[in-house]
Amino acid sequence: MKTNRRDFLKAAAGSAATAGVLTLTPSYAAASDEGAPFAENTMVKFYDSTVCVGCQACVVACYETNFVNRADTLNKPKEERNFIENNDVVPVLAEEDQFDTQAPWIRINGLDYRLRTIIRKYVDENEKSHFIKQNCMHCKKPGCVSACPVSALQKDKDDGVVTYDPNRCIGCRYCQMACPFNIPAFEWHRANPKITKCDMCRSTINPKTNDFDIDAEGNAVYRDNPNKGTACTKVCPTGAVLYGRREDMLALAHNRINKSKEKGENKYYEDTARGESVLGEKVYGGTGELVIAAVDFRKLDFPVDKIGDRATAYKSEGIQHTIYKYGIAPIALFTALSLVVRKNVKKHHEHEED
Amino acid sequence: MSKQREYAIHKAPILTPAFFIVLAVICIGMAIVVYRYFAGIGPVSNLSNGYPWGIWLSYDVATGSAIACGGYVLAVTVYIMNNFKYHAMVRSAVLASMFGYSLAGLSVMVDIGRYWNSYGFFIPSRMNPNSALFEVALCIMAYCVVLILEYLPAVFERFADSDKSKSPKLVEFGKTWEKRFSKALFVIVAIGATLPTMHQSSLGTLYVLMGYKLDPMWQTGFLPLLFLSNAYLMGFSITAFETVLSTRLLKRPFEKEIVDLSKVIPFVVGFWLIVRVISVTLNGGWSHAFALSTQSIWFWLELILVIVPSLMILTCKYAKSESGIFLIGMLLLIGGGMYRIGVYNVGFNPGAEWNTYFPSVAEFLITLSFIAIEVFGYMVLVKLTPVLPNLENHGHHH
Repeated sequence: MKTNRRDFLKAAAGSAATAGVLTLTPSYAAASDEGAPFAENTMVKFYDSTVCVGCQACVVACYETNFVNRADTLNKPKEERNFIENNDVVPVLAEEDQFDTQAPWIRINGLDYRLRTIIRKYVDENEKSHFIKQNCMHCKKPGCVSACPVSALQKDKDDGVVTYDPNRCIGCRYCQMACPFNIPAFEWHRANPKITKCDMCRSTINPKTNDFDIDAEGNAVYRDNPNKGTACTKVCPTGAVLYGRREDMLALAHNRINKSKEKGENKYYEDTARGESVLGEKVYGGTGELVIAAVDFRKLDFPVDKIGDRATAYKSEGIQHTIYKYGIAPIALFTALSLVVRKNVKKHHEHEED
Repeated sequence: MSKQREYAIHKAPILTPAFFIVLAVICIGMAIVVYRYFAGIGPVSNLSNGYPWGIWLSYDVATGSAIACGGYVLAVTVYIMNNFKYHAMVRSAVLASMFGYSLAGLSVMVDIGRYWNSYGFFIPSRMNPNSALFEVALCIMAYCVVLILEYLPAVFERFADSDKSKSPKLVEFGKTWEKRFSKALFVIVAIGATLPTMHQSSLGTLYVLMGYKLDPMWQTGFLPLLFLSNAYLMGFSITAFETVLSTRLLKRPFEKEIVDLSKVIPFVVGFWLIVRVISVTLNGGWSHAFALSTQSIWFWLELILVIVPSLMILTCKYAKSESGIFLIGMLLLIGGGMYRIGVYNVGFNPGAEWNTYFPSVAEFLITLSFIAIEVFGYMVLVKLTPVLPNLENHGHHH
């Protein structure tokens, strides 16, 4: 009955090797949808930093639509769900929502639970201001969607928008951990906390139908309500942020870069090292937000080198799928183990009865 | 029962001074928990949108569940590797694991913001099999049930051995169920050996998704394998540590089997170390390791604290003594635990815009109270049910 140490170590090494094979192989297994193109009707926002004047009308409009007038908006019939055009309104925060430097969960000058989008400013060495609109990038393979254990975050198969459902959310904050752009914000001070994140106004105005025409700029113009679209794009006075099909917006972005080159202005930054002139074309496997700017994306707070051109979800899902596909490996492991245990227990009892 | 029982109730008073100290710690922690349910997580913690996961996950769940792997590794050692000489230690390890895992589960209910939606884990349309967290959550819940089932025979035994003249029905009930459970034992043990293999590796997989936000010293596709082997290391170490601890605190003779069991540790550490070195090399983590930073100091401490005790086991006679086992167990637990906290907190950096996370006093107190509940429950149940090895068997044990 006694097993000697060598047997024990052999068995230990054997099981470690099995576990190793189980966990190792998947890291390099390719996930199925990697490399597939964006869905045809993918809707994106296209932001041209060189056109933005930093007025923050988009921030106000977003705040009005998705926070202040949220209840009003949702009470209206669908076709009337457009934001209220009033650029003079400055977001007035409830007393409990005022900035508080003592509260560690609030990031001054950054996204937090009160806003789905903000405009940030970067001043270069020539004292010139550059603006960047920060909000959810609606990635092609979103880390948050892959992370969410209860499918509260989902990527629409048709238009590619990443939506959030608070009725499913358990508040685990894995989406925040997984997001390479640090976008989702949590209501740290509430007993009933939700995640704040851009959903391209899907939960309010809902410009979801494909019933739109493309104007000369490539922008989506809704037939039923020309004023419809995301709150931020409709209000922008300079057209710095546009809403349309990804394909059209990407063409428009490249067009602007090329024209600027032809004129000899070269006013757009191009990341030649990584081969990405339009941010969102490549980074993290492609995103549903396209950005062109006069300065290096890295200076506008996009650590593109660190993020890389592959979504991390492909790797982690590869691991999960290989181990758990159809439950084969766990069931096989369980079956093998129960046979071994039964044999060993039986032997042990026989031995005890001797 | 004709034969001598393998386990016995530890005969000692329950209401000791230690009992009340532990109870006080629990009360303080629970008061803060109540406050958290009204005020939100922000006011009691130092968590932020940049650092949304704190010690309630890195310690209570990731490290706590690894410390609770004593039951897992002993079940594997005894029932799968066929070393029944360690059988007498199984039950106390299972009891400690039961508390460790249940408390990990409970602290998640403190940590998550919208706990009332947790039923979503059981709704097919909400399940997300792509998420490692989904797998971890289901698996840990299931394993808590398995651990309770593994512990229940102690309760039935308690009933079966109670005074027959006073409560004949209870004795009958205990005997019937003891028999039923011993028949199903192999299934329960096999499930109990499968589940931790799954979720302990998935606790590592969780961080693969974080990409660049986890320092290259820790980020790797080998995370699941590293976490699984680390769980074995933690399981063997806690078994060694607990054995000596119960020897001292409960004033019981030293269980010498643990010296033999500890000999496997250097091999587990060796395996883990090889994978660790390969993964750091593949991810270009060495340049970070040789730059002076909190992270690099943590990295080296973590390595030293598992390598030194392993070398002691291999070379040093002191490692065979009671105090030697105690020291080795403790060092390994700290080193192994530091690895997990290294991945979960220390190595995590979302960017320079947030203040680096350091847990608040309230976070520490809540974690401390969860540890206290484990100690409390363990101390009470070993005195109510037969969990520890029967001392009358000692000496003529095979």
